[in-house]
Amino acid sequence: MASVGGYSLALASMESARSEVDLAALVETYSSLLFRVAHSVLRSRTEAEDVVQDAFVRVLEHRRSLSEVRDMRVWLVRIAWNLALDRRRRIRPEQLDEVFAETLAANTVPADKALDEAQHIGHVLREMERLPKGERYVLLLSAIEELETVEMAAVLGRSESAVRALLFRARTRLRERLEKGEIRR
Amino acid sequence: MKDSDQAMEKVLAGLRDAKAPMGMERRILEGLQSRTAAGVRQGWLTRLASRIAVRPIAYAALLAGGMAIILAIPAAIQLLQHAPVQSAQETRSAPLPPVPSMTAAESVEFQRPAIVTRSPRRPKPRKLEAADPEEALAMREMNAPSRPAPPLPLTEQEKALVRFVRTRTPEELAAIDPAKWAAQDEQQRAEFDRFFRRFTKEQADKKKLAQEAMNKSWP
Repeated sequence: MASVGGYSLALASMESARSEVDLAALVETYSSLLFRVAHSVLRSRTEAEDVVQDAFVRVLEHRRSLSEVRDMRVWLVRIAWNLALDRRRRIRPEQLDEVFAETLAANTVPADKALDEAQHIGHVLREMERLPKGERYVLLLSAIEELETVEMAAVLGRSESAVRALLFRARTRLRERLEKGEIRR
Repeated sequence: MKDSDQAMEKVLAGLRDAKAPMGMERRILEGLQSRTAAGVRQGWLTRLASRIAVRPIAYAALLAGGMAIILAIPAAIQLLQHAPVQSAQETRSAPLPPVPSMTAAESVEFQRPAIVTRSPRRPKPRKLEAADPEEALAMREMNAPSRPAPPLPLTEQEKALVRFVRTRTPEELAAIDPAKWAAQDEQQRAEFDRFFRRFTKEQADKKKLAQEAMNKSWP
């Protein structure tokens, strides 16, 4: 049984051996991916960490039916994705987007240009949020890059071709809107 | 177009390169561990409640059986404790001849407590007072309130002193007064001194006369 930082949790200590899952190994393997999935929606590190925590709590609650899960990776990503979407509805994402834009600008450009860059990134984020729901979801999941089209389709409950089409339309629409915004400025 | 693509790619790269906070895995595992511990504490109650809800009659019968066993254990223990005592009483009372003056009612009354001791519904030891007269007496003595011990008898000297005080005259009683004794001693000492002072004076006079006689006889 693997362990992370001295913590080793075996769900099977309480339940039958059939449902034995090494939770520590799951956390070690998937916590970073789940964090990025949640962060793409929330754009906040603390909120994303809370989502990852909640996702593994769900795993703990459904430990009896884990043997029925065919693809643990997709199942966990779907849990984190839905939890993040639900959390974003309950918080004020505009403030989180501003903080994320400032942080990203400070990391990429010099300090004298950071303010303009932060505003530009904030504009891109706002335009992303204005995209249709399906296109926005596909665009956010594609940003993670660790997920293949099949996995994105499984997470969103769509076909692969639909995911590809949504991704193409999302990029096209976002580019057009950003260009329109630049022309207005 | 190029700027918009760059901005879009920059945002997507920022989302892709997001790093998890330090110690996130440890915090997650700690939280899960605490939840697991809490779940173990509450889990057996929930499981029991759910099982009772599924088969209430079976669990009620099981509970009734358990209660019956719990109630039967003290009775069995009491029976085991009193069985040898009863046999000992029977063997001890067997060689004694029957008391002719005892009536039938009295004999029934005497035997009734023995039956009472066999009853498992009287676990209190105080009920045994009526069962065994000797034991009842011992119990009464044990439960009796404490009294002060009687005074010890007088010694011979104390008795003589009491007799002396009650029978002698006031003059004799006064003799034990230390002042009287001191006065008497003083008087005796004075008589002694007076006697010896007179004796020494007479001796000196005689010696003086003898000396004068000797002086006259010598030429």
